Amino acid sequence: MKKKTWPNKNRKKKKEFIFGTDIDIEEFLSVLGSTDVTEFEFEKGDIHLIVKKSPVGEIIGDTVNVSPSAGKEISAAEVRKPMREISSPAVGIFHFIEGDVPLVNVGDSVKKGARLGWVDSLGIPQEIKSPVSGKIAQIIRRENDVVEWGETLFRIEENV
Amino acid sequence: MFKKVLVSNRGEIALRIIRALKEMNIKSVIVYSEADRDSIAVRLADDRVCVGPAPAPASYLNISQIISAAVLKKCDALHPGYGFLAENHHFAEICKSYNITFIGPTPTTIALAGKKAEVIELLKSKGVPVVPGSHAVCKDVKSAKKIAASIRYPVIIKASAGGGGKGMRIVEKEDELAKAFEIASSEAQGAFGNSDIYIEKYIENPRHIEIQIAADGGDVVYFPERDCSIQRHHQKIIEEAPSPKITPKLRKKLGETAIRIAKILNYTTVGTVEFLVSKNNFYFMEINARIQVEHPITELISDVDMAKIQITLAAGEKLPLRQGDIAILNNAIECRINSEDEDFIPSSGVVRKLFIPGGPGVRVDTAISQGDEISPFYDSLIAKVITWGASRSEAIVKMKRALDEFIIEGVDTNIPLHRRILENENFLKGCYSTSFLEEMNGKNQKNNK
Repeated sequence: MKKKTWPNKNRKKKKEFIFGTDIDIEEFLSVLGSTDVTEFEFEKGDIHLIVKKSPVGEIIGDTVNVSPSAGKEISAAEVRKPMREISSPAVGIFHFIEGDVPLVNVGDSVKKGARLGWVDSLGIPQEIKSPVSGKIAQIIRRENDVVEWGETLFRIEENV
Repeated sequence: MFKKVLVSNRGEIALRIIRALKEMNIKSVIVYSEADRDSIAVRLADDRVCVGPAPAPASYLNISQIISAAVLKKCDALHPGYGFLAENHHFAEICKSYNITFIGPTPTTIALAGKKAEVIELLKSKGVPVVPGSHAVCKDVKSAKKIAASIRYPVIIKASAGGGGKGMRIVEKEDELAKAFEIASSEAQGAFGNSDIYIEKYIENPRHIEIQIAADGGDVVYFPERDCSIQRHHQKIIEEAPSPKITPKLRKKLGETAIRIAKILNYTTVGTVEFLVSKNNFYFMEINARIQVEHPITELISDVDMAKIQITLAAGEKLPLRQGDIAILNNAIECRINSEDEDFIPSSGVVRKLFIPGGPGVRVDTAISQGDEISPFYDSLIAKVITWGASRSEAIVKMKRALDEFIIEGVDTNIPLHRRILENENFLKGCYSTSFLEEMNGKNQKNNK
């Protein structure tokens, strides 16, 4: 599974403009991303652009729809911060609830090195720690799920 | 019988086992590395667990992850295939401690079979013919020189834990011994984690003849021999059954000796006893505690399914056949297709185009498909082409046809080498020894000059 990151480093080198305008897409999105604006609409001639931001922790989509005549929609996932996937270190049983208390919940802010959970592999706990500081966007597997090596268990929206 | 078996291997042998399990109505779970995620064996198994990244030590040799998969998937048995952990007695022991039947001999037998020098000493003491030599671990160059002098040069240095030609050196005279000793012992350390070596008389131009056995703990049967003399760097590339030069009398003698050996070692399930044969003399070499790469030629000449017999025996059932039921019905040949260039250097890449030969008398055991990446992480064996017919010449004709049909683009293979061997006069006459390839190449070089 490929990790999805934004802004894309390759795109930094080459400026891309919103079709028919002189607005740099990357600059535009980074400005928008740092505001509280959740929806943005723009119309000029036959250009119709709608940008929507989703609440943190949900992924709406990951495609950029480029269609000059019908306007342009850039999905919210593209606007957000880089997403890190945390994969299972072992074949075993996945845990993120200790006692009755989850170590993390969706929406929690975590520091780099924070304990997220563990995989019990033949009775030996294999700890899962956050490789970055950020916000828990998704807990993909449920408590007590059997997981294999390398499968994604958490998605974390990395602080930039 | 087992309900669910973990297949702890990859490639063609994993697929071979999955096929046997399907026909036996047993569920299969395969463990795989990240590099094999899209492989045919992973797709065809009933269930699958990724156990690690591409390098084998982190995946196919990662005992704790493999056992964890077997436990969590509720497998009652595990098939190790060949290579990787197939002859690791610790692994077999761990399986047992988790109530998972290891499809192979007992851990004790595997451990003993792995100590080649010890096995040779044991069998020698029971009157089994063995190659003259030390057989016990040779500690230093001084004692090596003493042994070599007593059995006379040429001698061969071998790794106690070895196989596949690693840690093996032929020494023609005394002044070469010290250097060869050092190289063999460090090679053995690198390949097997054990630098123990032993020295024996080098039998010149022998045939490598092996006997497939099957044992249920009480009864042992043998199958007609496989001739595996066509080797490169001590690795088999063509095997045939029966051998073109073994007489019925010698066949019976070899078979009965193999049975005796199996009984001495308390051998169970299937295995192979390897002999060096020179004229009418034969010497025990080693016993392989696994199903072997070349098992299909035995299946084709005697109309049996060795993988199913192995699984049946591991489940504690009795041998499904008696010695009298085993006959030579056909002649069969196997060519091992390796992804390697003319100098035997492994070749990796994406298989752009692939056509697998077929038709009457042709069986191909492979797990590659078009678009697959032949990865540098694993063994270079990518397919086994096996042909059979009523006579040896018929099997050869079919093999030539099959190799002509084989299309594989994107990686180099040794198919051109197989074609040259199949045209060789000595091969066609059945007159060859383990030095066949060197002799053929030497002659070619002379002809080129």
